[in-house]
Amino acid sequence: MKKLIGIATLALALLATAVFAADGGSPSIAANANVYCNVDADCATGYTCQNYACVLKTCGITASALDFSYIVPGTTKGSDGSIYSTVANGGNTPTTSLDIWGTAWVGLNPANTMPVGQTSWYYAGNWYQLSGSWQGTGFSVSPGSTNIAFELAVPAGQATDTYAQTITFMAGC
Amino acid sequence: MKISKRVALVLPILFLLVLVSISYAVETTSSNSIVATVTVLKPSSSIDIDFFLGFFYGQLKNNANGKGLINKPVKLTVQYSEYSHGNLQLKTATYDLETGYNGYWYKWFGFNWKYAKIEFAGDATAGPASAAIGTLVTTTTTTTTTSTTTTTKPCECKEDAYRCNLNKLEICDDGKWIFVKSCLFGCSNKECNPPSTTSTTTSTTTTLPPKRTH
Repeated sequence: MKKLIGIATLALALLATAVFAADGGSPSIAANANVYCNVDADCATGYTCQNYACVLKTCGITASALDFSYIVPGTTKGSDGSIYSTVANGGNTPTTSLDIWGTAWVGLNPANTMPVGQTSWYYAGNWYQLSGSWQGTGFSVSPGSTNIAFELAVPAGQATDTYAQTITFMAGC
Repeated sequence: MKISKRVALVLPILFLLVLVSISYAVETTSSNSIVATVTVLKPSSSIDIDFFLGFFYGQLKNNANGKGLINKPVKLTVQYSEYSHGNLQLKTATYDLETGYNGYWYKWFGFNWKYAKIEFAGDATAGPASAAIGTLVTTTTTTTTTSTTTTTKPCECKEDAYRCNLNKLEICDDGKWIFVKSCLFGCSNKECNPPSTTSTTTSTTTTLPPKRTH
């Protein structure tokens, strides 16, 4: 039985090491906050080197609201990049991913709706149709802010109403 | 110390799962939800009206894309004149129509029309529109705080007055004398005179030669 426990413990240690290594961290230096460093590699996973000190990576994403103002059915608005959300990374490290998804458009009269895919967003040279489910892009947002343009195509015959759509931005770092 | 085989196997796996969770938790995520808003307007529409060969016709269009709006209800109102008991009367007729192919509408009309108006009241998908043709016969009264002003066109006669003009009965309509009918025996009191009341005097003067006397 002791032999069995020993084998299990050894396997556990090996696996734990592998997990840290796969995550890109530096298992050799188990640095914590404020530990002296020169580069990120000197810090443990989840930490970044800032001013020669390891600090916890942060990437607090905020985004500004969108207002498409008025639109006539059968037309598209925002294709010229004039309508955008400013996504700000208030953290200390670029994001490793930027994911965007949304809900369907719903009017003040709930009977009036528009599919979520009527909205598209622009990033790095391409338009992406907004989806109701998680859209992993892998795009990086550096600390600071980035404008992400949106366009909306309203189908012909769409009922007159004021519509709202919730768009969620999620960044990983 | 007795530890069963099952526990010995499960414990390391549980510990591993905890480690993995911690590892991923270190990789933080941040999310922010925003609300996008838009107000969808009714597209403005336009409609036109014309008259040709006894038909009023026109087209209802969406101004946003220039396409005709089909199956839309439109109302045609026509002001026309018609004789009734020898009098010329101004009447109004309305027709509820529906646009057809490519937004076109039409209506046959056989009376002497003066004014016609086509209206689309608008619906959830298109704004209202109207157009008119001809001159509406009406008297417009403008009320001010101190006085009432009646605005009329310069006219040569009093409205609905009759006159007999060289055996032609005429009525005053919209400030002008309009021919009603010819009266062979003249006219009076808004009507043609019947033959019995007409007297014709013929005088013949014959100059006889003087009697010859032998």
